[in-house]
Amino acid sequence: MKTLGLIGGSTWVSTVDYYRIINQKINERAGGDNSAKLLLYSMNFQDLRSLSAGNNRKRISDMLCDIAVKLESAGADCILLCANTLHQYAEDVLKHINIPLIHIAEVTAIEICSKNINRIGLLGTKYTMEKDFYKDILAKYNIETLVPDKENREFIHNSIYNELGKEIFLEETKAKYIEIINKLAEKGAKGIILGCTEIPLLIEQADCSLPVFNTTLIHAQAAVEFALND
Amino acid sequence: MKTLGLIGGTTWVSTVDYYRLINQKVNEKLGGDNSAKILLYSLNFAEIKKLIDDDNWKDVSTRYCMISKKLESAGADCIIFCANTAHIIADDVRKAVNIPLIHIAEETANAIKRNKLKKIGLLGTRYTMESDFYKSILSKCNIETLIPDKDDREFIQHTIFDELGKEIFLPESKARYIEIINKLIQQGAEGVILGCTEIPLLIKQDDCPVPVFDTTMIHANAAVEFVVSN
Repeated sequence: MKTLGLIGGSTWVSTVDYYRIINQKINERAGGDNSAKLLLYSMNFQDLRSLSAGNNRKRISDMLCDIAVKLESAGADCILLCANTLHQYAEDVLKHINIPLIHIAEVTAIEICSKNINRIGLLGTKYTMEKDFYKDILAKYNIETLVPDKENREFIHNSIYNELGKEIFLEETKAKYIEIINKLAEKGAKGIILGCTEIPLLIEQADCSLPVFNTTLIHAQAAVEFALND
Repeated sequence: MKTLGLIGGTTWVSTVDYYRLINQKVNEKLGGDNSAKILLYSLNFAEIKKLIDDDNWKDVSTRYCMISKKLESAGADCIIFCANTAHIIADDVRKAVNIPLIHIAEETANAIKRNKLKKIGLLGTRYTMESDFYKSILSKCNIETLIPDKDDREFIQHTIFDELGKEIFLPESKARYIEIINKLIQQGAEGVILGCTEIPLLIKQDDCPVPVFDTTMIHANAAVEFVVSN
């Protein structure tokens, strides 16, 4: 079995989800007492937020690259960034390591293609919704991306940081998410990417009329495939 | 902030507890978006269980020493085994690394001393209950250890590996645990050590007439103290 290298802590709540899903699925597949071999570096989220607030992209990139190199030398066979937003630094990290990086947008795009969907709504932090790093990968797979309007993007972004990442789950927040998803459906979205690892803690398939793509689950499953493939 | 080096996966279910408790308590102490800096090596339980079943503690020791060194060189400031049983080989790891190992039995003994108890019941895996490594640390603090009889020890061993470690929690197992605890109380136990990180998933303070010492909680608290102290 290969050793998975995880960079987590952004937030630790969703890192628990990764750890749990990966272990459960490895056990389902490999049976017996098997669990995942993994190395997790869990960051202090405050460090990341402070750098992010100061728009200190270089230092965030350096920190992630440094951690990835450490995980590789400690024996990790691949790197997973346990958050969608961190993938804006995925290319930087890849340049510093000699092991593969399992990219969350890439594996999500593959999953969307397998459902023959070509127009998708994307929910995530403002970085994920507004920057190109996510949409570009979807476009490579001929998937068109729709994002909520500015006001709703801000609502989602703030709910991720001020509620979901702190394990606060409110009914009214959930209702607003569903309203936002319905607006995207009216604009032609045929599915919704829950493109932040905290969002699936609030919104499930049963809450939505469109197919939802839980990026935590898709990413964790890709990790399990990697770990068990020889 | 200091970086905690955790060795987990034995089982991953209780490792989630460690990770969650440490992050929650670090956030309580430091506020804001602070979470713990953690390097976790999570083992494939099947590999360790096989060595333990074969009584091959030499290879268990080699494995833990190697992982501890890797965590040290990746930046960990201390080592924590996320399990009671692994502490059988704690002295080997202390010799192999230059950072402290926070020992679960030492921390538990300190907690019992603070409660001024002299005679304590110990529940855990067969190895924890029957070998000397735990009892000798308690006796250094003038605490006398009582363990269940052979039948009950076998029952506890079986539930840890075949139920609790697989997230199976049965009311009949819980009832039998309470019966075992009551027998120890009749023999003079003034408190009970839940000396396996899976047992607190089944038995809580409310289930017991005497103080229970949740070793996962005590150990995680000690880790948090280490993080926030300078």
